[in-house]
Amino acid sequence: MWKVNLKELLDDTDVQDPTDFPPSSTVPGLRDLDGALRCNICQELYEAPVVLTCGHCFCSLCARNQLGEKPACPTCWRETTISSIRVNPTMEEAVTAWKDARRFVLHMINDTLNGQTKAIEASRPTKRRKPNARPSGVVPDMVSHQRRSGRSDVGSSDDDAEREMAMSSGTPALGSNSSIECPVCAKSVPMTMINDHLDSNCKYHSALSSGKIASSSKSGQKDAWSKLLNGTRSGKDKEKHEAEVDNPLPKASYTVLKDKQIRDLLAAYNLSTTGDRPQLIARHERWVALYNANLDRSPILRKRPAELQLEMRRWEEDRRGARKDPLKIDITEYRRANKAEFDKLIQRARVNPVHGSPKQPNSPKTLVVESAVGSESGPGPASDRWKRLKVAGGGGGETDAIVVDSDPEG
Amino acid sequence: MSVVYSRRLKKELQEIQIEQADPAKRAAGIQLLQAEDLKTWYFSIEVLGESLYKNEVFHLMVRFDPEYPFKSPAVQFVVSDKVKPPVHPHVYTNGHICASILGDDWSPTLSVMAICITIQSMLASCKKKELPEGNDDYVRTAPDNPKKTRFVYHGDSV
Repeated sequence: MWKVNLKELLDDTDVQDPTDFPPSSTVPGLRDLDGALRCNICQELYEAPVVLTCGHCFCSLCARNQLGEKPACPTCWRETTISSIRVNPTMEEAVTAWKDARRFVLHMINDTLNGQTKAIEASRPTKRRKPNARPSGVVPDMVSHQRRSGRSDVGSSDDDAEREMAMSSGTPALGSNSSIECPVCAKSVPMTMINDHLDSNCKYHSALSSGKIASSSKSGQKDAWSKLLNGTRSGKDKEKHEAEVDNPLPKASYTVLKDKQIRDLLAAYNLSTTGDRPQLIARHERWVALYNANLDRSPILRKRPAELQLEMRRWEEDRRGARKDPLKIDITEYRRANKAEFDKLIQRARVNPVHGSPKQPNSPKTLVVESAVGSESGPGPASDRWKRLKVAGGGGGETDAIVVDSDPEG
Repeated sequence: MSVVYSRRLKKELQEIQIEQADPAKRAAGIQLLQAEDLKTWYFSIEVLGESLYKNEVFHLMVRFDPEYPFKSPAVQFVVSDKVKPPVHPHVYTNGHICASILGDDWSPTLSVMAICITIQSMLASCKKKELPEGNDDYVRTAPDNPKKTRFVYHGDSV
């Protein structure tokens, strides 16, 4: 019974890939662009992209997993190690921007292709606007940060217009007469007060109406602002703290560590300390990879420790499931299933040496198997299956009877 | 099921589906027969054009590990009443295949389709139909999963 059950498998997923875009004959470049921003291992848009010594780019976690298997680039096989992984923040920026733009671009293409004649007029203005709007809308952090004096740039009308178009679902746009987000402290401040607020080093006039900022992209931006600025703000305590957080975990040499010490390493990060030694090691290795891969993200995109711990829990569940996988043969089960074959082999092996051992020193005895070895004759008590072997002496005529005592069950 | 594993397999499945719907892109002679889950897929493979395997159709079974794509899938020819494995110097009569791409040379940047195409071209370039050396010994002792066998690869010459 052959059948292809693709629909069911694919229905419930949001699997995105470059083929979401029309081929280059219809829409030039976009499919390739989407492909170029994807990791060749997981086929997702790069998460914490890193480059290896050969220059090939992968997600940090993918690269770490792969180099753990084999210390070479999976594309060109050039040898490299985990320690020579370098982050690729430029690619990360590109991916972040593309993530934002992707749905919008797809939407636009569909509109254009579906109603060529109807929609072409409507889509043309947005097309023209896009290249201008994206740098200010999607990567505001870097751009606006450099020219902090241009305060009123943030949330400017151009920006808002772009967002309105991109999210046709209708996220509440900020009214220009209400409050806006301070680019420094990220608090909501009445528009008219923003200059005073900034002049006062963000001390006065914060509206504190956090509920007002509902749009997810806005709050993302808010996080971005605060993290970016916190990161660059100098202050000894701050620096010290940051340095602590930013240090990658060292690779542990498990061979010199006792179980207890590995458990301590795990416990330090609130991870489970159950299981045997291989499990503990696998868990710690995974945690180091996950933790260090997270550090390869830019600070504003990093996950919180709690999120990483959640990912670890999910991974543990996968592993538990994997142990029941049919590919991993259960050895006792295998032994039971092939018992008959094994018994036969053991039997043959036990008989053969007796057959072939007349070369015993100074006893040129001939071995005569008195009766046929009934190996195939079916089950029976062990003593029955093993026949007496009569050993005829070379000259004396004395006879030895050897009973091969065997217990196949044992 | 690990996230990378299932998401990547779904992507591959989707890609295969799109390719198979489009005759211009379809890898000729390779067809997905069955993919009910993300553990075992079946393909049919035939070598089109002039080759020693003209008019023969083989079935390939591909089984995935939860560590896919970091670990290669277990790939073998189906041996049943209806389909037989090809007679080929790198294919044992129990369906196991000796190909470095399935072992040491596996890379996570490869895909199931890449494997199918490699195996198809391995058949296409065959010059003499013969069984591998030591076939009987291997078949008698071979584990169920070809990945448990340590193959020694002898270069590309068939």
